[in-house]
Amino acid sequence: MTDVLVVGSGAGGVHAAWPLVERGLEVAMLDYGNEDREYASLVPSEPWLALRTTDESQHRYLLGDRFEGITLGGIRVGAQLTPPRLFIPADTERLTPVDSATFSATESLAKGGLAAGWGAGVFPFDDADLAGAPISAADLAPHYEAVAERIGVAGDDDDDLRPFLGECRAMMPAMAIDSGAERVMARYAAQRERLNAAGLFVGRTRLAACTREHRGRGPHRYFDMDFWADDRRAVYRPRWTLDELAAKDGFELRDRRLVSAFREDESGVVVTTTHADTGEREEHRARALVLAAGALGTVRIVLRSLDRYGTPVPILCNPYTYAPVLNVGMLGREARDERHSLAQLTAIYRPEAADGRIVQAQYYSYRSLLLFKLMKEAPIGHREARAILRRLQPVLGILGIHHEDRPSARKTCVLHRGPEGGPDRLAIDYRLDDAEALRHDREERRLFALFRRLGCFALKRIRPGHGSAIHYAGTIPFGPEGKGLTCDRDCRVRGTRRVHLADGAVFPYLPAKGLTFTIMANADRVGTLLANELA
Amino acid sequence: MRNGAETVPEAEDEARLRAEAVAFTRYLIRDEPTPEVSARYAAANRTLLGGESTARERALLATCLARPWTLPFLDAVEARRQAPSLLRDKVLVMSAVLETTTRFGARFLPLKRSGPVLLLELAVLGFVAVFRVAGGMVLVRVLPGLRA
Repeated sequence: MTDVLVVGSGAGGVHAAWPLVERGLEVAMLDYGNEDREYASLVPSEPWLALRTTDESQHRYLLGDRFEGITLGGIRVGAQLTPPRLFIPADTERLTPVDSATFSATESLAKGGLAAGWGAGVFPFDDADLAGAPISAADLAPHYEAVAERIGVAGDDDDDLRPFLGECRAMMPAMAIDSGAERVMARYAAQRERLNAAGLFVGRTRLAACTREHRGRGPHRYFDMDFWADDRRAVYRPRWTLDELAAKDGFELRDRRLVSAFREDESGVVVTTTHADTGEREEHRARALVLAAGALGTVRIVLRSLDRYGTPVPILCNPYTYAPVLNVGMLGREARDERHSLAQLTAIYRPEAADGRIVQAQYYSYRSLLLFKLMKEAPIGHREARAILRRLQPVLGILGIHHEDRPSARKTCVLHRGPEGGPDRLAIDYRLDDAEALRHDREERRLFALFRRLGCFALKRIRPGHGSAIHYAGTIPFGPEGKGLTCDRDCRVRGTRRVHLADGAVFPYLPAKGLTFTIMANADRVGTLLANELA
Repeated sequence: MRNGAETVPEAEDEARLRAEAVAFTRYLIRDEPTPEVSARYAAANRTLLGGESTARERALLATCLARPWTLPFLDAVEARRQAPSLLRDKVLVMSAVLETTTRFGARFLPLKRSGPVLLLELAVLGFVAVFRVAGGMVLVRVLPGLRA
């Protein structure tokens, strides 16, 4: 009999499976397993600018064979995904539908889950970030280290972000930043004390990327192709861990399976699935189950399994705003073409009297995305837009801002039975209260003012809508004993014997920091606890 | 369905799409499209823009093709409206197709400019952009069928 079934191959699934397999347990991973079979082989291992002038077939992966890289109409969630990344949300509208007028959900049935398109930012949580959870930063510390060693993390261990991100012994040297970020950092260094006193702290983004060879991956070659391809596997994707797991004894990937529900009996857990290709219903048995299907996927499975249709549960997602900025420090300067496409800098803004609460921003340069996407947003004719934006592109940056999120009665999701033969539908209602919206507005304005001191002037503030951060959490959170639809300290769903959660569903509070690295560390913790119990 | 909408025939006239490709390429980069680029533009249209269009949208498009000098003005005034626009969508599709070719792609890559030259060019381009919008507003009033 299989020891543990793990549902999902994303950030949570692979890192929950790892310690179980390492301890010699038999693990089977159930996953739908979509992957890119069209474009990966077409993208040359060349720098962005070189292939733009030499590769005759660039239109195939830049626009897509069905022109899926051209998005018409208004700004919508997921529009930033390039054709080689569009396998990530594929099939979800059909198989895992969401109804909402207030929230745009992006889910994934891909190998590697949503983290197949992760921005790779590594932001360990401190005790304040774990508010409401019965675990501390100290509980997660060994798991952060284990995951950091497994995935490869590059960063600066001695900059102004360290008090917020802590130490990481496994860290590789930081990724080199590009010319625009260098100018920002030069201005920051010149005014550091005043900016720190105002609550702003800036440093290079810690990234799950290899700056030297690590477990057969990397080093990163600065081709500026990170939105399009996974050159040398230098940037971490859960797929790389999945491939390592697949080579180990005791691990089996049962892919093309869509999980419906679980039930427990005297011998363990039974999970029902539907085969993606044959439509065949199957049952899988094991001693224990780890659900890591993402906060939305997992809550679907739990509510269906416990027959809690129509019961509202909480949902969290970091409110997100982004702004194109003019980095005037780049005026008249040549931008180096050798660069990576991920977040160059991370800024942490700690408002006065915020009780440890922070706002987090990432600075990107706009280089390896296509100009027509910017032209579309310009309120002028395309010809002038092209001429202006070509000139502005070297000085153009993007500031992405994340706010914390807390549960409220206005942020809920409910599972409804699907129509006869159709999939169940998750209804999401997500609204900020006025105080939250006002606070975000005030803190964004303050952050923009501080960035003006760094030479970055925001042109426009864009709020792509609730759900756009794609940091979903809190659907089956840690909760006190006796409270239904919560989990205990070991992430065991209350009311079950051996059904554990290993994704964002368990976190009752979302700090402004990105959640993905903490999902991985907590999954490693859950896998370790379960291994101790079962081995 | 938008006001006054009509369904465009599924097999949109190839010659008309190629004429659009020529007009839009001349407008965007003052060049002629290659046959391959025109064919790709036509294919993208069939995939992305095969749906409905309003009488006004068709009139705008017809005006731009019959009098290509109006295109910069009507494109600019449509941009200012910030409403769904078939003309804007078609010009955007042409931009995307041109940008992803080795022959024309360099004309969408960043330009390096010194600070003073950049500021001067931006001022001139800004003035031109405003002039286009103003001219477009006049055209929409005087040419038949273009009022929103």
